[in-house]
Amino acid sequence: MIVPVTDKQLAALRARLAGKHEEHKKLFGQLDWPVDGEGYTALHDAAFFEAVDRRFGSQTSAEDIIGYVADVRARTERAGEVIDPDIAERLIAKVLGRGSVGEVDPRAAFTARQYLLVALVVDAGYDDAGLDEFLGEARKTADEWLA
Amino acid sequence: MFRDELYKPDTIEDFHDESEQNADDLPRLFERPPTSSHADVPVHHPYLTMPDAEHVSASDLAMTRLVVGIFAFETTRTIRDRVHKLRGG
Repeated sequence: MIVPVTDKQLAALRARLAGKHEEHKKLFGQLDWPVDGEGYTALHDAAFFEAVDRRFGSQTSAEDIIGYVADVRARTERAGEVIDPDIAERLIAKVLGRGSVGEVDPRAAFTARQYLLVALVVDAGYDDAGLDEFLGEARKTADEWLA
Repeated sequence: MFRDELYKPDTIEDFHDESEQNADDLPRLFERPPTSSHADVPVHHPYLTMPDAEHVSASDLAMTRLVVGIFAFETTRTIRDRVHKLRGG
């Protein structure tokens, strides 16, 4: 059965990307993970895909990717500890059509995507309308993936 | 495809745990401006200034003399060669 991204899943991710910490915790806690997990992670990955695609162009060099990952890892002490730079760089490169991420540790890859997605959205500086537009595109992509 | 390579249904619970573990740190990314942007800082004078033309150093004079000397020597030699050829030398 095809289950597209729900408004609940979207609201939870939107709260996180809008910097509404308490609201995100509340909405994320309300998700029924065995039911919502696939949709939420699809939306999260689609948002990451969209954010990387908007931030980096096809001419992006390996040095640009390495520099960005290093910058994000330096933003908090924990980010430097939990983001595996090799995995993070490979994730960005994969969105740009380079290399593979098939064999990376799924948990470490998810952590890297979480930090990179928030950092990319912060850097983009979206207002409310911009964030809605961004997530609208991500939702379309996620629904295609889930179909 | 991106999603196909990353999504493993048996690890979906790990995603939930990771999300909760990072929940308190991720908001800190909003607290500091990204280093990839920059703010223009106004200054009261230009950083780059033109050299003062009134103060010519000794090395400037020496270099000028050298260049003029080489030019004069080459011009004289060229004229002498041409005259020599015209005279059928």
